[in-house]
Amino acid sequence: MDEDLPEKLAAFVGKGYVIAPAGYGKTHLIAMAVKASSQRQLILTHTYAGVHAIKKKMQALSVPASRYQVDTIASWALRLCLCFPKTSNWYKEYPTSGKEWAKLYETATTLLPRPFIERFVRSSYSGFYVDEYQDCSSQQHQLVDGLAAKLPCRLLGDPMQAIFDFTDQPVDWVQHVYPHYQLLGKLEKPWRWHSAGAIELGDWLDAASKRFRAGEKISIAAPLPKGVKRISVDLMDFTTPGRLNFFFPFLAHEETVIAIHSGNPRSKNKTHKLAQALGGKFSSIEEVEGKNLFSFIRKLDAEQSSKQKLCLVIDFTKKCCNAVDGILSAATKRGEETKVTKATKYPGLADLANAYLAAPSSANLSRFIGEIQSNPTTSTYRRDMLNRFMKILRKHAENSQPSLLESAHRYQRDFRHSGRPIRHNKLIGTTLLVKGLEYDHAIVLEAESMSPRELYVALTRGAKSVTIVTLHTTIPA
Amino acid sequence: MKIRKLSILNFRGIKQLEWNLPDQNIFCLIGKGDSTKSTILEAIRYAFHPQWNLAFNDSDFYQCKTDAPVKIEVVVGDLPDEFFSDQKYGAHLRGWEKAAFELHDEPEDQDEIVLSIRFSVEKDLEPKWKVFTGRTPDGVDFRTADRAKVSVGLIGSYSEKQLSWAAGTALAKITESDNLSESLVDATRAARSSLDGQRATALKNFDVAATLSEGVAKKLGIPIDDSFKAHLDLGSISIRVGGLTLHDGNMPLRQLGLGSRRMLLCGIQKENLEAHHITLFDELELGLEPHRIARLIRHIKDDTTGQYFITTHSPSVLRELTVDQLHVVHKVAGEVEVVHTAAKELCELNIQGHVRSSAEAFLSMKVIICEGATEVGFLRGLDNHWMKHNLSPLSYLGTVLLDAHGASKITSLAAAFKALRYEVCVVGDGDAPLQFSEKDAKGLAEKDIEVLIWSDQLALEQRAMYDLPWNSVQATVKLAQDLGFDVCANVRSKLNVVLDKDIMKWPESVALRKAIGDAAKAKASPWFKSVSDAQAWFEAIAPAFDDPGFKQRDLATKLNQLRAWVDHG
Repeated sequence: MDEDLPEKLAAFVGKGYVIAPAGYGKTHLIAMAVKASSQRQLILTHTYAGVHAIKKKMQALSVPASRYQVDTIASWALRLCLCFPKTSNWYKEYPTSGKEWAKLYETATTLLPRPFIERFVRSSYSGFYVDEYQDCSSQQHQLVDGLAAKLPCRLLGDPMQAIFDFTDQPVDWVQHVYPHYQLLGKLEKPWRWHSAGAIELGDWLDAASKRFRAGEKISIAAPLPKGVKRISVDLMDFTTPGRLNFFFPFLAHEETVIAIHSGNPRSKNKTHKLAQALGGKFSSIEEVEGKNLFSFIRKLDAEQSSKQKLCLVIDFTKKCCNAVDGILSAATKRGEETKVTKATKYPGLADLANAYLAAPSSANLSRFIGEIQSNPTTSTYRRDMLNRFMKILRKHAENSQPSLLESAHRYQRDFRHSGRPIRHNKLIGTTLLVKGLEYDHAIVLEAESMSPRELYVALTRGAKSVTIVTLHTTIPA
Repeated sequence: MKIRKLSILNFRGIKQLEWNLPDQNIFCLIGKGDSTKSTILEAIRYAFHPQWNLAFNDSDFYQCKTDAPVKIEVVVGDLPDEFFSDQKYGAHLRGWEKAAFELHDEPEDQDEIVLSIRFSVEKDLEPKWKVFTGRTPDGVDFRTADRAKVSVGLIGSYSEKQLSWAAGTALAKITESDNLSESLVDATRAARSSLDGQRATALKNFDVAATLSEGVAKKLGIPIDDSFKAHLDLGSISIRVGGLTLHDGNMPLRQLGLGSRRMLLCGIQKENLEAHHITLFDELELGLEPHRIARLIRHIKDDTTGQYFITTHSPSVLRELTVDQLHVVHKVAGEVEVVHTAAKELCELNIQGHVRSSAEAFLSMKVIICEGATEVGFLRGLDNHWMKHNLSPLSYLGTVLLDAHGASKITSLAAAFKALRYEVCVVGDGDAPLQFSEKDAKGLAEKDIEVLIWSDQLALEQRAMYDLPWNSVQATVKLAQDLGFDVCANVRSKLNVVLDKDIMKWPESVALRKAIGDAAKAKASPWFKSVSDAQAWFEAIAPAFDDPGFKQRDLATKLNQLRAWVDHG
């Protein structure tokens, strides 16, 4: 990094950007730049995890709290619109769908040219930063661009890490950023790996990133530096029993491990299948929105008969845990009351199923699923989804909200702030779900199926080691 | 910062007040006593009280009814940027449309950006200051430090504190220091060391006792580093900021005359560090001669950094101001109204001219508008006559006689005073219908203005000559003769008869009464056209008021009507 880049950013008054790859000291740069400026700065990012990370860095570098405000673009825009509801015509406190959020950004953008909003913005901040700019949607970019017309603007991001769900419309750097914003600098040193003691890995990733950016491939044939490993296995070759063996050494320690599949729609289900195949030793994570969970809750809420409810619940539980079929009585599985006899294998479980049939409350359901989970023969592999559902059930049982769906929406709001409640530290996800997150070890699955950007995001998730699983010797394919 | 709107509920004498302020720097409040002018100033002071501790008691509530909370709401504009920031009140911005006096909950593009401040006190006597909007009715705290930034200063009845550096005073505000008390610690140290220099004299006896104690300590084995001495203890003899006062040489300025002290305070208020201020000046004229009033108002007019709220009872103050700056305060059963003398709907009424010529009338409650000096003098005489008969004088009832200087001016003048919510009575002649017609009179009556016109289209003199007993008519002519008029010639020019030189021998007749009346009124040589002559005339005819026959006549009935209006109307 340019030694005086923080001062340069602090003094800059136009529209500019810094190319800042993940792990290259971006948060540090922001904090130093804010420290170097004399007036209050606004720092926008995308996730609450990002907000926390920036605040923590500010405190570590003792930047006075009066000097900055850190927020997500979403909540900043929402607050602005809600502060002036008549002007914005925006009254929704909790937007849910992507469409609503997109509309919110458009609304906030139309507010910016109003004279009093300009006065408000200029009185509040003397400049702003946007972190992880590659994660901006095009609507968010419009908002940022509008704000940049009022305040000095500095974007930080890395187009190489721009990966998106096919439904999103991402900001186009070539069209929207490069021609209108001034390049202020590039971060050059892979700090994350250097401070984790994996200097060789960091330098190898740095070299790989340069090749990817140039549109070139890299060789992953031996010899590979310390911290980089290739496993030549075909995960889809179900005839080979030992194909998953390379996972097991990772269970020997307590460090965090992420196994990463491509984010394309075909690979999504692969994460859950893999978790199932690994008997829940690795657990799969869900997208923040929890589409599968919500569609299940909607169905469950709408269903009137307790018989059908029970069947739905059992179906759902099977999607989260192994060996559910074997522990339930035939009657329970049909959605009928079980006559508990001496022959009943798990009488406690049957009783709880009967209780739910008699009174299909969230409290009863929570006890029933809890019993399934704690049964020694089952193993949970979609912990993320099941945990969220259990939390929603508890919330519903405690607060007696009108419907389970309402409780789910409320839980979802809190969840956006607090992040995934995952205590399990061996996880499986897709590139889209893990971008921006940091683990000790990364396992890149079916590397040949990934685009260069996906590959780059996946490779850079582990601070100590990366394991690449592919039959290929050069990537991307 | 500038106040744009003020609403008061249940504060002292005010049950309710809504006041939209024009975009001006000077607001002079006038109106009869107890119309709550000073309460309005106090309300502004409370809304921006720069300290958290404000003593409030039951008598601060309207009629001491503590169930109805005190609520003072102020819309302020012309704010410093920091108030607009996200950290302060950025989420609570509202808009003020100056031309229409309209408050918008969220600013429109052309609006001035304003904040609404609410000061409220409930039964618990705990004052609360909030910044609020329609969308955030509970509001957020309007912090003490921010209230201080508005820099509201009251120059009221003088207190010793005001020319000191006590907290919240104008002097404290113009002193550049984060903490005045701390700055004073140095002064305390200086006092201590200067005392040290005079130890041999000033502390002699104390040191003797100290040495004695030292001996005791030694005997008891208490360790002694140096030696025992009497000394000022910085911890317990702090010099307080309130003790630091302004001096001229060795003379404290509190010994200055009242007017000078108040003028000085007003000047200091302008110099405050915030570069803007709101100065409240209760009874501006107090202790000042007219020429110093003029000078003080000049100073106020030249200051563009602040808003001034002034109350006054002095015509000298009024004459120095323009109608833009005058606001009449009216109170009826606790409902208070502030009427701007330059308001749009009043602009045709030439109030400015009336302020110059009749400043006193603006300081009264009731105005009797007289057509000319004759009526004014005549009514003055009548006032004296009433007084002799143990009726309250006009001045006691807050009633002023105003000379309209001509029949043509009566209508506009009466309408102007009525529009400013004064009680108005018109005393006019009926002899010049082109200038003041029946229709005009009717129009005024419709506005709830008492109108007295002598019947049969007659002027006062003419009416009097018809209605008075004959000896009073003769007394009238005699007075005119004494004033130097050739009364015989005057009367003969109206009625061709032979008249005795001795007026007392003139024979009574309707024709002669008419001729005398016409002569007294004649344009060429009117008999009673000055106030003093007209007053003398009334005194000459005063005995008629004991005549039972006269009491039935038009003149006497109308004058009784006037009395009834003065007493009740």
